[in-house]
Amino acid sequence: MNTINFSEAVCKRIRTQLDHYLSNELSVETDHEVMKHLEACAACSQELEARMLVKNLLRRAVQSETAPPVLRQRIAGRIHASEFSFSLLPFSPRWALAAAAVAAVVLGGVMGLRWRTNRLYDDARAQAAYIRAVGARLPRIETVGLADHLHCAVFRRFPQEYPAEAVAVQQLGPQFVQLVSMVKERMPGEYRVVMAHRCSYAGRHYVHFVLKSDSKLLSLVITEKQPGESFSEMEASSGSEVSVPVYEVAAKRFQVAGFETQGYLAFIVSDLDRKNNLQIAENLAPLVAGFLNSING
Amino acid sequence: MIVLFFQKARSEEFEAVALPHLNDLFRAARRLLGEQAAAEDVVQEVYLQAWKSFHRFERGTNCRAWLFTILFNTVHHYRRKWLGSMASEGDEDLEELLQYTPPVPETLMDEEVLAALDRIPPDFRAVLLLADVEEFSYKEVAGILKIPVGTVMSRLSRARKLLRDELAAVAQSYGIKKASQGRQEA
Repeated sequence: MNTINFSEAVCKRIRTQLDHYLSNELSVETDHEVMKHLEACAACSQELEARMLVKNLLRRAVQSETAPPVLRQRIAGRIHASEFSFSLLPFSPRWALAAAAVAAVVLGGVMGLRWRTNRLYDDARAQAAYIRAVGARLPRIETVGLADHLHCAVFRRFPQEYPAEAVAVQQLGPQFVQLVSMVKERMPGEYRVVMAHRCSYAGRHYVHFVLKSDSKLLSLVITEKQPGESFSEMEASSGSEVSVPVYEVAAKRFQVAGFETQGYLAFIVSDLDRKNNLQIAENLAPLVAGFLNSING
Repeated sequence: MIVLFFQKARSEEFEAVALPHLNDLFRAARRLLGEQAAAEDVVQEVYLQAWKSFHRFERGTNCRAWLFTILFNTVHHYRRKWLGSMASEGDEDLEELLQYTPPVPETLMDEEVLAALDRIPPDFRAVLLLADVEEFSYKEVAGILKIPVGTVMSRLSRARKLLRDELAAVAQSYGIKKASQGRQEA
């Protein structure tokens, strides 16, 4: 029936080993046995060649593809960008673990936000240039809040399904956790806290809440005042009857509404229209300011 | 400042050990996910995750296997249903191994081979990519896919057979069968 001179049982046994022979995974003895058999058995050795050919064709075909060169640049850019924000915080393994966990959650999904160009997500320098351009005509103090919103909320790939709130706030630290529920109570019902964490941008530390509705993205950004910083040179947008005056500006499609306490600056930044953004800011300002005053003293 | 320098040195080390595997990861992701954009996203995520857990990576251990482990985790999350479509395991049938398969010509185009590979069930495709393309050892493949070595072995044999049958079918559809006509039904 065929040209094999060996007993069929021997060939049968050898052929069950051929794949492992091909993968170089046999023990020395078995390897030797298969080799000896192949030297003498034309049919089995043809069979090995056929399997080897398939393997080689497969390798060649898969390796004929290469990654697009921009991918490498994008990845290197992301690593440098994260390195920058990492290094501004005191290094702590626990923090890094939390970051990795949050990163895993964030990265696990497809981006929830779309932005015209991927470069702004992936290239730290392009992003910094964009942030400077958007804030160029604004009073400097307003750019403090705008920059972190752009850097940390807008240019972030959010997961398609948001993490549970406990996960979303785990980076925040005990001091600010209670503010989350206070803010939630005052926000229109369609908003969810998708992230509440500490972050840094351009050498400044922030406490940052990201809230999302179906189509809108809003940040509450809080940062410690630096010497000389105040809204006092600006004209308040809110009426004089308000206890905590709000100072707002527009920058491209973003609205920035800031307010201050003795020790802190706080901003509501969003892509809402002017009226709605201001309304939310005025709504939250007394609450947030009260909270900030209470932790300051 | 010192922290900054330290971080810089670390990222340079990371890039030096991890980035050379970019093409390998991309090719595997491309074949596992079927589309270029998804593969790019996943590979980028793999690197960011790897970078963030780089402090846990032990120098001198196999960086490539580590990256592929992260790749398969990421792919798994990216397409949870991907593994849901598992083909029935089935023990390797010895009779089947002895069965005659029409020959596979060397002249097949890369595109034809890739198309044939894409028709193979994902679990088997994964083993082929790791063992035959990337040439990981059985033990490494088992570690990456989190399956026993025995399963790697049986899946690989089966996968090679499936691929070979696919390729033979492509060849046959081109009428290359003639040469082997006389030997059929051994």
